[in-house]
Amino acid sequence: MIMIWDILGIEPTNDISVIKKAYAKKLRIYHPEDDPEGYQKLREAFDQALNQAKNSQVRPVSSEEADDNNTTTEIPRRVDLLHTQDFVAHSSHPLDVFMQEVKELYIDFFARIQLENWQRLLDSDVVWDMEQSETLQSRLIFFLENHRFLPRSIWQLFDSLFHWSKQKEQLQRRYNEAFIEYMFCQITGTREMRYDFFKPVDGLDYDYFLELREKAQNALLKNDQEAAKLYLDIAYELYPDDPDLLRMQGELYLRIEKIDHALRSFNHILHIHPADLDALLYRARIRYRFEQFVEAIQDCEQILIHSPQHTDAQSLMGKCYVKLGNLDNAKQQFSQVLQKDLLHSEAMSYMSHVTNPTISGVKRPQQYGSIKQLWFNLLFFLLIFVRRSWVYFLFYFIVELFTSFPFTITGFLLIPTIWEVWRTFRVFIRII
Amino acid sequence: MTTIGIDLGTTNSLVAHWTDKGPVIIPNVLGKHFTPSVVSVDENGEILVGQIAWERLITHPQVTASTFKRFMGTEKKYNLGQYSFSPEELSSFVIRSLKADAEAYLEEPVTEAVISVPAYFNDTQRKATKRAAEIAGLKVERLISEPTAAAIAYGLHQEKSETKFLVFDLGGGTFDVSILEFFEGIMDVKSIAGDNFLGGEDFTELLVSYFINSYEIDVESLDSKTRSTIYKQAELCKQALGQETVGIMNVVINGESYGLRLDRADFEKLAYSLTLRMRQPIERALRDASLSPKDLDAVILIGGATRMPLIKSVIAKMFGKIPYTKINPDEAVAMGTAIQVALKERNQALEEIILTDVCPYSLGTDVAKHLGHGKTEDGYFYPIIERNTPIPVSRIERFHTMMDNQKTIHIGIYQGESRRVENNIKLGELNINVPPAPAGAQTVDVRYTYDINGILEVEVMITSTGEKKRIIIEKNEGSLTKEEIEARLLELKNIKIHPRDRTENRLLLARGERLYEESLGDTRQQIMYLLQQFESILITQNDQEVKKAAKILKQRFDRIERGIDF
Repeated sequence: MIMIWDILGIEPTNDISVIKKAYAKKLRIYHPEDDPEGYQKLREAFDQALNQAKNSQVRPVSSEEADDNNTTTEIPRRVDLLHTQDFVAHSSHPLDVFMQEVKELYIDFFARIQLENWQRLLDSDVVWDMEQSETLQSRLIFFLENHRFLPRSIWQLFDSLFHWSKQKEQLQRRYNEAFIEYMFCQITGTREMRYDFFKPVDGLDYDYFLELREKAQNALLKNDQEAAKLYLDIAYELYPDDPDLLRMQGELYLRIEKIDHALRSFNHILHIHPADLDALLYRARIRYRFEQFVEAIQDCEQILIHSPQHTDAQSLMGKCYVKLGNLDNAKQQFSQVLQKDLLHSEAMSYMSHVTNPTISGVKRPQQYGSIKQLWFNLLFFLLIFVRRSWVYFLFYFIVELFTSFPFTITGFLLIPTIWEVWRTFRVFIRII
Repeated sequence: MTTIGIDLGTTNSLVAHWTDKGPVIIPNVLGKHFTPSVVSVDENGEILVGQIAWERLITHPQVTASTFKRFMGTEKKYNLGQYSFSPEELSSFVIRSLKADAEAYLEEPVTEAVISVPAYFNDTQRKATKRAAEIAGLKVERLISEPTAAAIAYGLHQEKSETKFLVFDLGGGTFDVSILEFFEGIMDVKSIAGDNFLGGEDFTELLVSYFINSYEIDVESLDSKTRSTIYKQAELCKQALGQETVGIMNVVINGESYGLRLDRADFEKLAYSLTLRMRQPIERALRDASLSPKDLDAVILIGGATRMPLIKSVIAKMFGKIPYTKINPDEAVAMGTAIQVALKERNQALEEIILTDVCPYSLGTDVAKHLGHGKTEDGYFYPIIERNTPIPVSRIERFHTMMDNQKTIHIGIYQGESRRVENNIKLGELNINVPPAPAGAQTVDVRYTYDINGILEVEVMITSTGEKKRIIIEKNEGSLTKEEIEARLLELKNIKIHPRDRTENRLLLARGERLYEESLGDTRQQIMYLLQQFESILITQNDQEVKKAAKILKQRFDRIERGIDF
């Protein structure tokens, strides 16, 4: 502590101009060009002295200022503006006016989900005023914490304006961490739900519906089927025509093996929104289970019209062709899938079946009856296994012999081998 | 030993020197204050720089390069005719041309220079700039950040003894925000933030894509000449919008004429997403300097792109003050470099001003962390020098081994602000062998030294043995050795540069060719006739005749150009 004043060559003081003068004087001795080390020491002393001086001055001043200037410096803790109607209603401070407008826009559900309305509002001068920026952002974040049902595009608009996603850590320190996390999910769209399918319904409390929808999503993510069912049922009573709600309903029915009900939900979605890819894929899968292969293929084709890169749909289509015995078509589908996604596991395993019909489950050439035949097969598969994985063994032994890594590391080298064992074994079982 | 100041810009470059009366911009051979940062190669393999090359952007886009500063320090190659140049070599041609202008003007050889770089330039980019000057035969006395240069140009004009201000620098290709304080004869940079990929060119690109989209033109089907024409029209439209309320673009594609009109409001709407990108650097710079906008005494605009009225209104909206524009935004940086020359030489009149700068980004290393239960995870960024630390600075941190009998310690050198190193920029790495010992027993001291030129040096010392290792931060080929520079210099020397004294006539011909391509029908015939006439006079080599003809031709071209553009 005393050191810094020694370096600056003055008595301890809170007078910033004295500190600056002393620093300027010393800087001519410890010039940054000639004496980098001396400068660094001087600079550090200077910054510390300034900080001390500022801290000792700012405290009394700021409390006085806060009294004078309530509207701009205070961050409102009570934020549920919807239910505290008269709060700030008469203030003419630009920030209050802005927040009032935000609140009014939010209350009108169909206006709130329109991107243009927010663009217009966020173009107000106060949003661009750097002086207000910090306060405005914190008021907005507090507001959104309690009024969080907005489409993704609007969250992205906020982000492009305030760059929240670039300051995630700072924001998490200053605001409710769970809410900031929620905000980032909305911006990145990892748990996006849509708002474009709502139609005006008399007396419907949209926010209540949206809350139920979100709770159902959370319950499904945790696989809490009972809670999910409860929320979904109440929400469905309120408003039955939301594709995202129906999708979750179908998903739940699938989990509890009520396939007929699930199918009904997905059909309902496709009635509202015929190009809903998720619903189409779910329906195709159900149809596959019901062995309605031709219909399943139709659904997959629909998906591929809208999204040609959809590998899951195409792979499912391939599986349908396998079941229909049309191996050429199946092969074509699987190879296209693998062109788009080299690591598509389903297509990979099916591809080996369709290209090698002797071990295919579809055209099993003959029954293996005798023990002799079984042994013969076992030997055959052992040979295949060795042929496929001798390189891994060789490599493993070289590493074991010539290096001294512990087994926890070299053990990883055995993973491909285990994988090969599993694959060979699976094919073997199928044949038996 | 004469030193000049160079503002090596993305679109234009300037050169200045210090006189008794203060900094003065040195005009180029054409009498202009700025030289376009464009390089072209002609049919004979000669290098053309500046205005001539700029004219050739449309007529010979294949052999002409511009905006290469954006790729400074990368391995991008520009293939111009028989040659292949790196961005720094292209910059060296521009520097060489500026050097020649200065030598002609000062009538003495110039050996050293202070060169400005964007504040946000990283180590690699700064070194590349230094090399460009070395190749051009100039020793770099100092690299100075552009906003700092502008600020010292501004600081000298100040009457108040203490001011805080923000420099808003929107150049052709980069955007920097710096906050500075001037007190007691000290110019103190408090913080720097920026966006390396935002500049005036982006606004032009915006108009280009708007034009292309509104006519649904297939860009792939266009030849490069047409594309350059569209680009140039967009540029002119942007400039027009700065002076008037309406801008126009006219392009002839495959014999069909396309026109577009837009007013300032349309342009503002188009540019909305770009203006949004300016917010974050400003907020960050203010936060890092722990200042509020009301603490600022002034906002200074530099960089040609700040001429756009759009920018001025955004600034006025953000700060509630009208930006300070006493200094010509195009020349402020060059003026500042010349002042820096004088400061460097400890010129009598200027002894008072001392410059202190900051490091614009955090520098650190990658570390592994214990997560408990004997598990570790690597790839964490550990900042050693935090961003906006005053420089020169040197910091030491101690790190220890993670495993029993660990043989080497790896020090990765990174720059950036992310918690994870994979999101930061890797500048280099270094491995040092340590004696075998239990985990944590061996330690190394890592010292980061960031010098006043913004160049980083890393030194690692094993505390138990005192063994030291120093680096080597160069990501690319690094600073050239003397022999390598000589070799490349020789190579480049064999490339002929178009003689300086014939620049003016050559420019007229290049301009004529461009006008020919841009116009149609009668005007075209007229230009061809004028060019033929001028060439026949050139052959006579009668200086006086040529000068007279050139003057007339220039006037004619001026008239034609005015007719075409609007």
